[in-house]
Amino acid sequence: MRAAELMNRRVLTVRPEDSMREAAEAMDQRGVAGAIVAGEDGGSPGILTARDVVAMIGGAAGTQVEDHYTRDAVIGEPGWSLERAAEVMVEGRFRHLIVTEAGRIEGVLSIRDIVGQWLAERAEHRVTIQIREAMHPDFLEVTPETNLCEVAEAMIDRDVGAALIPSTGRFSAPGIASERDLLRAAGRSASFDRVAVGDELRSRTTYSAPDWSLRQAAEAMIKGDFQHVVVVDTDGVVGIIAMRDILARWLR
Amino acid sequence: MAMSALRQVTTGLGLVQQTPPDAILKQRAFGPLIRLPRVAYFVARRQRALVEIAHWGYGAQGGAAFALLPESVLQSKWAGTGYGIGTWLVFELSIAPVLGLDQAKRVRLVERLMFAGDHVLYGVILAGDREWLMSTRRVRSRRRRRLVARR
Repeated sequence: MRAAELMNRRVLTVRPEDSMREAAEAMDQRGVAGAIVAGEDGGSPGILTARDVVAMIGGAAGTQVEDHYTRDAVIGEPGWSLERAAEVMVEGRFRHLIVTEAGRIEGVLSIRDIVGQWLAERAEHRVTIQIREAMHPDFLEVTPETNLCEVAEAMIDRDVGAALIPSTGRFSAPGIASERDLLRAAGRSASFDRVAVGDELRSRTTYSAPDWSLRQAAEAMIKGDFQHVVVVDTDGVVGIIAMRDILARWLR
Repeated sequence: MAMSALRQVTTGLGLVQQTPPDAILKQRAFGPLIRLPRVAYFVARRQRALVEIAHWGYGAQGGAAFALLPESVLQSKWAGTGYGIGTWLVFELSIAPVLGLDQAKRVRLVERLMFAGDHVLYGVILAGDREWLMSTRRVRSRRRRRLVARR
């Protein structure tokens, strides 16, 4: 399958002079984690992602899109195979690939699109790979009282897309603060140092054991519309797995 | 218990990768659990115990069903062996393919032989238990009859 057959053609576009708050609000409302920033004077397009919003919350200077977006975004072509697009995204550590033809924006292909497609067309494939082979045992943990600035800063420093909020009681499950939570908060507020992450937790997640099938984790993320699964065993949390980790392992 | 012990040995030796309840949990249970994260959390943390409970529960149900078979079938000396193979075939021919388990797609001769072997052991022990139970009952009723005759 080619990128053109799978990419999302209804792309969200923001302007460099838009405020980050407006852009974050638009991304949150559309339920996307990336928006195309139209190139100035017909130049190459850039991209603003949830990661840029997190960096802004974490203290990166500037309140407008032009202060934060990626100008030299990697551009794909409609004829690229999904394997090639996946390799480029995994190697470049980004989740959205802008697809253009003759300088015109055709759509955006995301890691989620590829994982969903491979799940559907390779039903019997790779079912024996276990979650432990792809998860990150070294995860970021924050308390519910930590303010959004500190959480965002830690996420950028550690280069992760989610932070674990440990469980408070013996029978309660741990929570997760993801880029989406921060994106939503950025669309509503500006005083991030006064908001505790525990008050902004909306991200859905689920839990798995390390020896469950990686394919199951991918299915859970696609069906549940989330990016991370918390991995637990009898001793508690042992890791977090993200959709990008799954794609990276499948490509190996 | 004998079947579980044999299963532990075959799994420990690497002859069996995943037992049937283990395979169902690790390959298929996640889907239904997506909307129940708290249940998923509990199951993921306690999976070893839950797999054992599921296996023993399946065995107990199988034992109860065995006792309900017609007397003519139960009196056959092959009843236990046949029943054991039958319970194994239920997994191989219906549960595994319907759930789309990896076990239904791979050629795994050794694993299949091990599964067949421990299910035959299960059936033989079921039949043996039933025979022992019946003979105990016969002895008791004979004693009872003798006591009644003396009086």
